[in-house]
Amino acid sequence: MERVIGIDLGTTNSCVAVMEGDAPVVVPNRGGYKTTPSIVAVTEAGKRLVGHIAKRQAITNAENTVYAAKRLIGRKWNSPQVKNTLMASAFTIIEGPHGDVRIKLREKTFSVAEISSMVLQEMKVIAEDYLGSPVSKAVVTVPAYFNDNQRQATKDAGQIAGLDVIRIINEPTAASLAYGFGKGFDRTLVVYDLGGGTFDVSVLEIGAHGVFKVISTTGDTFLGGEDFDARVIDWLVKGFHEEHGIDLRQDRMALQRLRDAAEKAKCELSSVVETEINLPFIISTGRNEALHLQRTLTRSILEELTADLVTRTVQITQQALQEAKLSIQDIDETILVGGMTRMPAVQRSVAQFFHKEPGKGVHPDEVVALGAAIQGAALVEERHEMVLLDVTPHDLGIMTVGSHFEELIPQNTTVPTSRAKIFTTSRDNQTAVKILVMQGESQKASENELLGEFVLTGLKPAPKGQVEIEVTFAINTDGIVSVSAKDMDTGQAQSIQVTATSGLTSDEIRHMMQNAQEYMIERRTDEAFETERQKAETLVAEVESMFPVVERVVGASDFGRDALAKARSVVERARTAVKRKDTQAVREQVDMLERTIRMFRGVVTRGA
Amino acid sequence: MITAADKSKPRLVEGVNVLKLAIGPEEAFVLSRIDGNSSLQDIIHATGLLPDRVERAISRLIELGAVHYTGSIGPASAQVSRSAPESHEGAKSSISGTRGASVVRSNHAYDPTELDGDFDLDQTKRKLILDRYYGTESSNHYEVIGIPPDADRKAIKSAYYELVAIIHPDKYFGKNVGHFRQKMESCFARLTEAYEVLSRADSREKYDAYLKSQQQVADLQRALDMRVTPEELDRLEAELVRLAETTAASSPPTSTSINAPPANTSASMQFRVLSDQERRQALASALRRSTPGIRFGAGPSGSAAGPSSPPNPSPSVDGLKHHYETRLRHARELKLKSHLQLARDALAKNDPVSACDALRIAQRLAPDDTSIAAHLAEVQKQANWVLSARYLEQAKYEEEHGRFDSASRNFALAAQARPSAELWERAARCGLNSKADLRSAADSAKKALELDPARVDLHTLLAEIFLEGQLSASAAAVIERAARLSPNDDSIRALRRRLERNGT
Repeated sequence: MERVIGIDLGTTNSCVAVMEGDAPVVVPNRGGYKTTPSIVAVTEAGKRLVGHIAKRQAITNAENTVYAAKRLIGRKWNSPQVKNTLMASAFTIIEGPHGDVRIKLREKTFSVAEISSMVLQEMKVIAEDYLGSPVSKAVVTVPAYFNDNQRQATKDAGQIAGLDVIRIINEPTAASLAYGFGKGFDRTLVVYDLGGGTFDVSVLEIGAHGVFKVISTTGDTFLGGEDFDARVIDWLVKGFHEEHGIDLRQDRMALQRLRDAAEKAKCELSSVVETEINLPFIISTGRNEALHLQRTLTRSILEELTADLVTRTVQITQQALQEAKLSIQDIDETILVGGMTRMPAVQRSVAQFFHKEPGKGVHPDEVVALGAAIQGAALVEERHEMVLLDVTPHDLGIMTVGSHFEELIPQNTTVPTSRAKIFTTSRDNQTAVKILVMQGESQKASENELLGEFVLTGLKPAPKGQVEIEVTFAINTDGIVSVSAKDMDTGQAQSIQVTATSGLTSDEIRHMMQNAQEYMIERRTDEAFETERQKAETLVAEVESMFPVVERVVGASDFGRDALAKARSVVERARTAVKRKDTQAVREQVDMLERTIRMFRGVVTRGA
Repeated sequence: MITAADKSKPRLVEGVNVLKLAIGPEEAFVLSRIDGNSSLQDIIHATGLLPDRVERAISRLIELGAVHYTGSIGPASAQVSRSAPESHEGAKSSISGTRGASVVRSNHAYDPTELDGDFDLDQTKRKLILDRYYGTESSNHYEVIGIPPDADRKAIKSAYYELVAIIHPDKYFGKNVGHFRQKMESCFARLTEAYEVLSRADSREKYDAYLKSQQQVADLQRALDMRVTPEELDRLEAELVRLAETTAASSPPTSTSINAPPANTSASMQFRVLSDQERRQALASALRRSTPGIRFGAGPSGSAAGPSSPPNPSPSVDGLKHHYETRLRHARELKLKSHLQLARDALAKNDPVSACDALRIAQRLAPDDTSIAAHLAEVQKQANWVLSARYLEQAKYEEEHGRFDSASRNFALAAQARPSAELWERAARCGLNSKADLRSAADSAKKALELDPARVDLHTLLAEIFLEGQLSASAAAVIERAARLSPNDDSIRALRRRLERNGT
């Protein structure tokens, strides 16, 4: 039976897991690492690199290496978060055809979903290599606070990667699932998830019959480890500027080195109280002198630089409790998820806020993927008795007269859910009604996220107010919004046209899927060739090492000369095949080489 | 057997040619009263026919395929009927128990063909889902979760979780369950709504108060309902006959007859006819006491009494009728006295509900007595006053929970008993928010204005309602009046702009 994989598509790192029997396990990549950097690059030769290998060359290829694409996915071009990222990133971000965001790598332009799909594809390959069989179904996690556009874009990314994303689940919920699965808990839990780019807090109830129910969730989709790094970078850049009068940000390579160093230092300071940042030859002056950056960063300085970020997470946590209408005493346990929760200041703040130590025994980097794997198996295999009841994180509503936002489904409503509203015409013989669907918490529609313009078309001409259409707004278990409509008189379905969403069209997705497939085919072919090439080279070396001995033993006879000549031609053909990159030919020659070696061995033993 | 809380609403099956039906005048009359909005009870009262005749007529019409009960044609119309005025707020906030007492869920009618179909779902499960989907529309939160009203928090959570594990659509992920998926989602949403209210002490408390006040309203509404229920009439008739018997023993007989028992009582009696058996026995025992000489059948039980005995030609049928009616009149007078006393006692105990009950029956007994009618009207006013407090409570709860449609109605009802600009205003605002019945909202706003004509904000409210209802001319008129009261008001300017945008 086909397995479902669980993928934690993180801002900085991604992780994939699968159920083995009754427990989920994380699948390590080829290098043996349990997490893979969410980094994509294109080399000068046009080759795509994903993961560790992409990270390693990030410094020298800064302009064509993309990281933290999750901070851009599903966002509109003219949003403050995109502008922010634009200024801080070394790679090129441009506006897309739907008011969305595109990324330029070498000569090609990619949508953000496409970049993320490359990471997902990598995780898919890791799982397939481990399982030894193809994988087509996955559960992918997103931050709980992601809106509909961001979720849809993530689902698109999965589709482009050739995955059937059977469910999108929220990261804190996935973590709680891994935490409580099969343990028969009955408790109220808070999940504090501070990752590379996003922050979520969820309040959950775990109860009998394997029910995991989210009570409230809130967060900030633009607050995470990257922001902590940014503070360190600012500090370094400022210090350098004061000392040398040069702005290191202007140099993309320097910026990349600074990023790496900042991240490294930040991580180290979770276990030591001070660390040295050493970046020799960081930049050259106008006079072609090379300058070095050397500075000591202490834990207390780091904590000072990032104090407001930590405070903000506590404020958001407070909000989550308020929305759940619970107090600190009602919470049985807090669990920490995400690499940033290793930071002592973060752990301290959480413990202080809840008046108790957060729960241990949850691996902050892996727990989300494990939860996703559990949910995947539960949906497809039915042997696991559990149900996840999640909520929608934002108010859903429509824009009404005066640019007001009329709420239809409030935030923290358990999904799946739906709400119907009757629309009518405001002019005689009006044949279409337009509805703007939005998500957000502001009273002003302009401050909320536009999900789409839905136009009810083909209405019967009638006096105004006489045509009644019932429109149903539904949010499914993925947290994704859909709109359907029905003519109240006839009971027939009403046609709706969706316009002005910033997502990809189905044609675009299909095209990208094709590209992804072609890439996979090419890659598998390359890998197959590599395997054969290595085999061939090893064998060629062995054959050649045997020539002198064989020469000595049978070189004098006709048979011997014949054998040697044949062997030489096989070697020659192998080399040519390798040069031509003809995998099949190489395989044939490998065969021949093996036979040759057997024959030689025989000769050599007889001769000895 | 009809229950007071019967909620089924028969409606016409679409596309049926009434002329082709094999029915008689009585069925046609009943058919003419079926409009999809009247319950069985309403139709009984509208036709004035006896309940079992109406039931029989409707059964016949259903048999002929001309009529069916709401919710029984299939998902599409089920959707439509669910979005009828009562549940304007849609699936999520399907109002529970707005009209009072709980309804037995298993009684619910739906088209059994909905159970068919090649789906990966067993029949027990299908029935469970359909019962829930159609049956919980008028259930309260406790019934939806299946717990007693005094259940503690643990029991509620346990019951909810157990149900979730059964009806959550994820249990059938990737399986072919057709239309059942949407129904499961809907049931799940209703269940969760109930749980969210009951699982928190504060919201549960408010909800319990709301339920209690609804029960009281239901009681009062019944008391104020001028129509007497069939059970009451049965009771009354039986009592009267009993009284007739006892008074007969003390008053001298005026005639004897062993003739056939009187035919159906005249139309003026307005009561259900006693069964032949009962009537014969009553008459027989009455006459036996008055004429010891005449024998009826074998023994004291009077089993063979009645038409089988040879008639005695001397006593007249009219005489007997007269005798019977006199006794009945005496009995009625006694009854009247006792009911008036009951009413007095009830009022002394500050119970306008029971007083209304008693006075109503008294009025039935003496329909021409104007003093009783006047007294009843007065007591009704008192009951209304009490009722209005309940209406106000309910309206506040509903407003808080976004059920603007019902809130508007209840504010208006409260305002009718205790008129105040504030209450009418609230009714109007809720009406505006719900956008359901703008006419009533406008009426409420107008009533508020009558009581407090100098308030600009009441004018703007009325104008907003008119604008919402596309009545630009009326809106314009109100805006002008408001402008005269307060020339530089921002809100008036905003309304003017909106008016312009709508185009007159």
